[in-house]
Amino acid sequence: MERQTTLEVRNLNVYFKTAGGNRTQAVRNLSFQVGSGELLGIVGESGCGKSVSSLAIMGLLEFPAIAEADKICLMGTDISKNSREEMRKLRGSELSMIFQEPMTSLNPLFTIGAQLSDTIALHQECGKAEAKRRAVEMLEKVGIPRAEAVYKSYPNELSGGMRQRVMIAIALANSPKLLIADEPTTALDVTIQAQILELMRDLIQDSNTAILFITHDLGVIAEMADRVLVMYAGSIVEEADVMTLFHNCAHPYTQGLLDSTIKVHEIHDELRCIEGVVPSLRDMPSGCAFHPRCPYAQEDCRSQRPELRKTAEGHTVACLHPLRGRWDHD
Amino acid sequence: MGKKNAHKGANPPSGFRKYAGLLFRSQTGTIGFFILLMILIIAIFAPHIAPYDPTSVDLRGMRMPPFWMEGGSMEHILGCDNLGRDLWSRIIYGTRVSLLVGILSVLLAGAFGIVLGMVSGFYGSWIDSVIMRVTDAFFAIPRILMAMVVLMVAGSSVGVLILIIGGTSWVPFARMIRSEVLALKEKEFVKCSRSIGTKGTVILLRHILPNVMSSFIVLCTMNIAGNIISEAALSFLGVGIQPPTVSWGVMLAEGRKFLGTHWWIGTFPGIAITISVLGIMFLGNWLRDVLDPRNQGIK
Amino acid sequence: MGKYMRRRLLQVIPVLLIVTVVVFFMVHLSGDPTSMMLPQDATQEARENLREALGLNRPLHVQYWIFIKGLFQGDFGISHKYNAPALPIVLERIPASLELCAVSIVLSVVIAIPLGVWAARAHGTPFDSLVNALAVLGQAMPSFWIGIMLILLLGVKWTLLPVSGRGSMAQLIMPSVTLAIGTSAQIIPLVRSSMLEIVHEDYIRTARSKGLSERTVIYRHAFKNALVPVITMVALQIPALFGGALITETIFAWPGLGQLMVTGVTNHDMAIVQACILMITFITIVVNLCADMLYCLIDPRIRM
Repeated sequence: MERQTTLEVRNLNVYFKTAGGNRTQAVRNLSFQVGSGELLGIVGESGCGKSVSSLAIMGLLEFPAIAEADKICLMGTDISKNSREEMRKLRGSELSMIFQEPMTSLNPLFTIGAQLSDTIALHQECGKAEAKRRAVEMLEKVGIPRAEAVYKSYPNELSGGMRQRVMIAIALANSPKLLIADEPTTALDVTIQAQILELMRDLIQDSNTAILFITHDLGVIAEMADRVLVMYAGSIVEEADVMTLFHNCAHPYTQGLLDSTIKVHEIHDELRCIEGVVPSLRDMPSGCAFHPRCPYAQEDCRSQRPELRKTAEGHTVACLHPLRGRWDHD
Repeated sequence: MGKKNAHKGANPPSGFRKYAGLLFRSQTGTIGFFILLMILIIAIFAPHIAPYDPTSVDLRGMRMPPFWMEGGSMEHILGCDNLGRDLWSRIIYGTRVSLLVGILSVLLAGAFGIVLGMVSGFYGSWIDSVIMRVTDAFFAIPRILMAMVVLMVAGSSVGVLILIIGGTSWVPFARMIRSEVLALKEKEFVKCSRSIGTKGTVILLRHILPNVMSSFIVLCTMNIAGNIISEAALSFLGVGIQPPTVSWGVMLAEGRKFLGTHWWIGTFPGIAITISVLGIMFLGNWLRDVLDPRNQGIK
Repeated sequence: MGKYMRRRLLQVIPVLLIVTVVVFFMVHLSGDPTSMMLPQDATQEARENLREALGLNRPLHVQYWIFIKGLFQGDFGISHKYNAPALPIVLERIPASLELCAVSIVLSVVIAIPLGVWAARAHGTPFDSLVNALAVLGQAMPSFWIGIMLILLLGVKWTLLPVSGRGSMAQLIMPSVTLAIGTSAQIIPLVRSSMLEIVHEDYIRTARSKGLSERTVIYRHAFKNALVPVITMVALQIPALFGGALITETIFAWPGLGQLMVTGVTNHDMAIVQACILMITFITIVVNLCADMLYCLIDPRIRM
């Protein structure tokens, strides 16, 4: 199947306006593409700008955050210059988002059904009865038992896992072209996490929805992603397909992330971690943002900021001295 | 091996200087503080500030309007009332009663409320239920009504006034302190204390009391304003302060009779009440922002 | 809804009882009721006779028991001014007071909620500051002074409205506005801060991400959530409102319970005073229960 480019982002910059007319850069020159039916994972620690980028794409950023981009193309149409009203029309129908906290993401005073059918009725232009029917169908599709009863119940009557299923139902109800999932399983128990991931995999298998999956959990990336973007301090440091990333990564930060995950089958004497902390937005290091924590840092890393460069087909890295993998590519 | 902090600059101000700095950064806080200061000074030095004795009658000045109106003079800046008494002097002396009743009644209500609140919140179970039902009962009875009945039977003296206003305004204290205590009870340091067998009263006094202090102070301040209005209301209805003692409420009652002809008699005492209450509210709001438990940490 | 309301109803009964205790003992412990009923120069013997006639020489708890029994039988004592049982006199006045209070509450809600919501939407602008300033002023001005000033401006200087009595719509305006100003001044800041807080909640972000119109997001979602603490506040205002109504009724000669009570106090008519205070408190408790029911209807979490 010919893959279309669902989302193309070129040079997205997000910054915060601070007191005194200053700016703090949160995301720098973010560029990537996602094709239809593809799942792009975005990996990074807290504060690397992944959530802010997704909010920018959705048009949900609030003052004092400001987003600018050369282009953000959804199915070929540039939406970066859209008005608020135009973005509103896209949200829920072409663009959808799932958030991290299922416990607080649903309005406690409205029934599940009300919160699901209002988006259906809005974007599919159908009557209330029809919207209800489709809503119940959607609830069944996301694996919620006794969908009719759940339709009438309130969020506080459901567990976290169930609520996240509802959120998925809401997000996918109108068959969006792009779904952004911002750490959807982070707040859930591991067993529930597995269920939700499986659900998502099943749902997207048959549809052409492009998915932006944001997480800090490499295990989830390994399971779900086709390709991966690694972000650090507001920029992409590496982009590759998932196999290449795990077996042949090129950026020291990615290597550090991989090393610090605990592998059950290996025995370590001590936990490996990445020394230091993520720099604050206001206090960025000169040159490469990662160099203070990089075990391979060299002189030029301190002064020169690395650009994204291709090391192999479909594999780019922003490093002046990328790592050599277990097998070399030409 | 740690490096020593080599601050060469001045030490950050603590205690009084710190609060003074915080105060002047807040516009409303500063206004409130100065209003309150002004009222205190006026109340304390009333005999020296007031141009006339508040009960003395000036036959020439009877019903004289304020100085900016026709017929007024600078001798009686705000005019005179129907008996020829200087309004400005009466307002000055009125601050005494308002502050006295306001502050003392709040201290009474606060003491009572804080004890009930702490006991209720800390010991829980049936004590809590009983105290809470009593609180509900006192809350349901509108304060003015209760005060009126008691003043009717016991007579309208300043003492009774303070007692009854204090005795009916303790509910907010009890409720708020109780909820704070309930929250504190779950904190680790209290559980530790109990597990080593510390007596309840000791825990209450040593651990819980200091941590509810800031909210208590804020509530006290706000309640002074409310109680000043209560006193004025009761005096207005005729059951509070009795002449010849001067009270703003009494002045308002007198002014009401002469609204058509001498509007100033009923207007200025009301302005005095409003300004006083505003000042107290501003200061109370500032105190609340500054003493926010979230900024304090556990003591 | 059942479980919560049942619990509340059960709580109300002891509260009512305690109220009777409080009222009774406050009255009887404050002094000698008869001292106010007789002229100053009444003889000791006359006082004693009156005390005996009123049953005041019996032990307090016996008096209380008689008192309570009487309440259950609808006997609230005999008013010595009207020479008639107190209860019917009191009951007759209820509609007037209810009318005044109901109109005041409705008026204050109608003023306060839109103003609070607009101020929240206009956060940081001069309009917001203006609304805040007005709210603060409204809280600081004593309600009886507001009433007097309104009479001065609208009744005396410019004779726009009647200043006393009940009967026409025009007569209702000033007293209810007087009360409404104070109440709405309390409500406005709460509505405003509630809206400001709620707008940052996660579920509002979800609503926006669904593409709902800003109108729907604010006026359907955020507003409903903001209403919950507001209802609590309005319910808490009710005793204060009734207290304020007492003074307002006196100022505007509004023939309600409050005015009856004030004249009762002036006449030292114990039966009327007791009946008024018990009736007003009872109504307060009932209204609070209704507010709780409303709360229940809006917030499903409470029903659990």
